[in-house]
Formats: sequence, C-alpha cells, structure tokens
Amino acid sequence: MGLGLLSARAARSFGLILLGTSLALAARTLAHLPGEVAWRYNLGGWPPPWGIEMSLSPLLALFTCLLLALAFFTLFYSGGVAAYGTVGRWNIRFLPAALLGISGTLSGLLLIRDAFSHYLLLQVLVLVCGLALGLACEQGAKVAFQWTLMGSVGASLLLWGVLGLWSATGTLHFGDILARLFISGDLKAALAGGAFLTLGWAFLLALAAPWPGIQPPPFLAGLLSGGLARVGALCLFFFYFSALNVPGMTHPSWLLFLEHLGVVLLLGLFGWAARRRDLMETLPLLGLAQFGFFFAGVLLGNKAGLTGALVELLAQALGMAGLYFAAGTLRPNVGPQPLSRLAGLARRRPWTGLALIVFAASIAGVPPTAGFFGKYYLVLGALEKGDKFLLAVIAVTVLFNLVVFLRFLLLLFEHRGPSAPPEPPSRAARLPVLLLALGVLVLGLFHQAALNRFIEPALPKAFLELPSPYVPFLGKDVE
Amino acid sequence: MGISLPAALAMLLVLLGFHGVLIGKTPLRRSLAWCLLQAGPCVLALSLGLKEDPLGQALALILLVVGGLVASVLCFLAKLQPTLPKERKGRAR
Repeated sequence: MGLGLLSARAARSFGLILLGTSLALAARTLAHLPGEVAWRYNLGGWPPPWGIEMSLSPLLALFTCLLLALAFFTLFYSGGVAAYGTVGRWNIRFLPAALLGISGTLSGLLLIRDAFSHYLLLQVLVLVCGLALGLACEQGAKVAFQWTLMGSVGASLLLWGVLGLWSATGTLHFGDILARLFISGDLKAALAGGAFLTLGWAFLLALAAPWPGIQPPPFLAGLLSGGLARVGALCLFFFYFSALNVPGMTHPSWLLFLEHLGVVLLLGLFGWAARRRDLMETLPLLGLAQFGFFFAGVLLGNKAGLTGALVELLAQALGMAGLYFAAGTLRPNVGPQPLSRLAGLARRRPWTGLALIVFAASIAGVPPTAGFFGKYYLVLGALEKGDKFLLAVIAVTVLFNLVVFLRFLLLLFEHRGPSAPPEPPSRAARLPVLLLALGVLVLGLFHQAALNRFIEPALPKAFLELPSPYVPFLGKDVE
Repeated sequence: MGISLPAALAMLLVLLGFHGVLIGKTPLRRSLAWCLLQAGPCVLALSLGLKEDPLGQALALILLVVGGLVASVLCFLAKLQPTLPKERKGRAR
C-alpha cells in the first residue's frame, strides 16, 4: 500500500517479488513434505480451543502453490496487457496489495483448523476481494458494495453454523468438534452446523464463480474462479470430513432429496452455458456448473467418489483460471466477447487454440486431461455405491458436454475468420495460459502419481491404510 | 430441548437481517440490515460468554470489532452509490 503511494511500478515489482518468493518457499515445502501425515503446528504453542492449529498436508501445499502461482500470474498479467478499461491508473497502484491480501487469506483458510479463525479469515477475504474488485472494475464502487454485502451475508451464515457447533460441543477445533459430536451423539447439531456452513460458503462460491452480474476483468476473474472458488470448495470439503463426518450419521430422506436436487441443478447449468453466445457469459456459468461434479463426489462419500471430487477440484482450478486468462488474451478489457470471434482461432493462433482445446477437453472429460480422471472416479464411485440416479446424471452431463466440446472444436478450426479478429496477445498474457494448459495435461498423464502423493493422504481417515487402532481424539492422535 | 431466550432473539435478528438484505430499497438500508444479521451471532456469543465462559467473552468482543469494521466499510460504499439498479424498480411494478 505504502509503495503504491510512491509508484505503480514499484508496487507491482514488490508484489511480484513477494508472491514469487512465497511461491518458491511453498514449492520447497511441498517437496519436503512426507506423504502419509500432515505437518501440524499450534500458533503460540497453546493447545485448542485457545490455541489455533494449522495443518499442512501435501494436497494443501499443492493448492497453496497453485494459488500463489495464480496470484503471481494475475499480477504479472495485469502489467502485460491494458486490462483496466476506463479505470484510472491510480487504482493500479493498490491492486498488488489487494492481490497479496487475497492470496494470504486464502492460504490461511487452507491451513487453519479452527472454526472461528476460519470465519475471521473469510470475512477478511470478503473485504480484500471487495477492494480488488473496486479497484479493477469499471463500476468499482457498485461491484465492491455488492460483493462485500453478499459475501458478508455468507460469512455471517457461516458464523451462525460455527457458533451453533460451539454451543453444542464447547470447542472450535475441527478434530475436537468431531470427537465431541461422536461422544454426545448429537447428530442434529452436526446436520444443522453443516447446513449453515454450506449456505455460508454457497454465497462465496457463487460470487467467486464469478456471479454473472459482477463481471471483473478476465485476469482477476481467473484468480477468483480458479483460486478463490475452488479453494473455498476444498475448505468446505475439510469442514465436512474433518469436523462433521460423525460415524454412523445418516441423512434424512428429505435432505438427501435436496442434496441430489442441488447437484442436478448445478449440472443443469451446463445446458444454460451452452446456449450463451458470449464467452464472458458462458464462463461464469461453466464455473458454477462444475461444482456439480464436486458435490456429486461429496454426496457419494465413498473413496472413489471423494477421490473424483478432489481430482475434479484440481482440474477445475487449472481449467477455469486458464480459460479466463485465455479470454483475457482475446480481449483484455471488460465487455462482450462473442463466441463468433473464436472462429478459426486455432488456425491463426495455434498455441492459444491448443490451450483452449485442452481446457475445454478437461471440462468435457476427454482423456488424457485431468478432468477425464476426475469424472472417471466419480462414475466408479457411483457404481460402487449403486447410486443409479447420480450415475445417470453424471453420464448424461458428460455426454452433453462431449457434444458441446465437439462443436467448440469445429468452431476453433473453422475456415472463415471472424468479422473483427481479436488483437494479438502480448507475451506476458500467453505464458500463464500455456503453463496452465500444460498443468492440466501433466495432472492427467501422471494422475496415478498425483493420487498417491496428494489426493489419498487428504481423504478422510476411514479410507486411509493406517495402523489400527487409530482414533483421533480432542486434537491428539492416540492409539 | 427448548430454545433459550438469547438464541430465539438471535434467530429473530438473523431472519430480520436476511430479509432486509434481500428487499432493502437503498444500499444504506441493506447495509443496516446486514448489521442486524450480524447482531444475531453477537447476541448468541455474548449470551454464552456471560455464563462465565472466557472464550465466549473473547469471541463476542472480536465479533463486535469485526462487525463494526465491516459495517463501516459497507456504509461507506453505500454512500458512494445512492441509487439502486433499474431492474429493481421494474420488479417492484
């Protein structure tokens, strides 16, 4: 912030150095993390509930790296293209501080294992994102107000769930909440807490998709959709399975109906997205619709389903950020981007075209992309559980997406050019897109290694091959 | 299991606040409705904290500070844009 007052270039350079250093440190930590167990650290050395525990597993370290890389690309990208539209250059001076705030609070949300700190970080995140949107959008004050208001409503609902769980269990630590809910057998408290936490995060996930009315510049939308929204879903995953997954808990039939309905509605958004004729209207809907796959995996709840949900999240984070960054290379400013402008793009710009094909293939579930393996494990999970309804819904969605993918492929290789061809992208804009496309392919090609190293250690303990008996109790692993 | 008076009051505040955020006619009114919404959890934390629970007292204090900060940001942003988008007027008709 202080450097921003002096010079825009100094602020941007300092932001890039900080994000780059953090990324290098996170990557080094990732390389040194043992595969089986998470690193745990109590802030101030106090045990829960006063002390705040942080936990770092390989998957969380990978997501932290990805998040920092996206924030780095976003800042790098914002310097390479004229991404600010009519927003004054003064605003550019403070954007690096806002991006640092977003990446810092999101990293904290990933690592923290304390429900109240989770709420506090979420509320700070809402404020920092509001600042970033206010600085980067054309109607900054309006967008910042909408985001801050609705995001704070989501945070308040989450707080309501956190306080409800606290009043039922007397603790705020994830592991302790689970242990005490199990001892007391208070399954209603777990269900009510889970409902409020889901509602609270739903506001944030919908806003960060981003919500069609918000329309941030593409580079910032990439960070929100690929970073914030997917990290939020991962936080929800850890809430469900490390705090609320009480052994023996069954969902009532009306709740199961609502959960299935939610998945169907989310996946139904793919149909709505396919009817849009503007890329910037399609992408937010795609960002929202893909949560359907994640929640389908969570709903299945078995090892294959949860593996599919986590692989999907990784693929979506790379894919959505890549698609928004690629959209930014076609037209960096806010405004309509008719799909007709993509006609013949793969012939004129083979690298950008190839990256778009990889991202679209991952969403559609075409091998060997990461998205294919996510959907493969979801189908496997549905078969194992015998949930024919979810199996049918996933299969129909994948088939529909394959048809849309083929139409998109034909459009990219069309012979006729668009009436107004997009401006050539800058070098700064091309690099992140190609790196993200490479990430989607690498994750798909080496999916078995990724499963062993990152996904399996993050699954709930019931699915891990741990020496028995292994009973986590009140924050301690006791035998 | 009955619902205590503070919990009932907190629920009422949350419902009123949520309703106000959705239907508020000006940005300032919506911001004030959010303050009501946030007051619900504050009442709940305070009522738990008053039972000689130091953690509850600390949480209630933190919530008041955070709520005040967010409310001031919302009111500041609301003052920057005094009119509502046109579509809300259309919906009212």
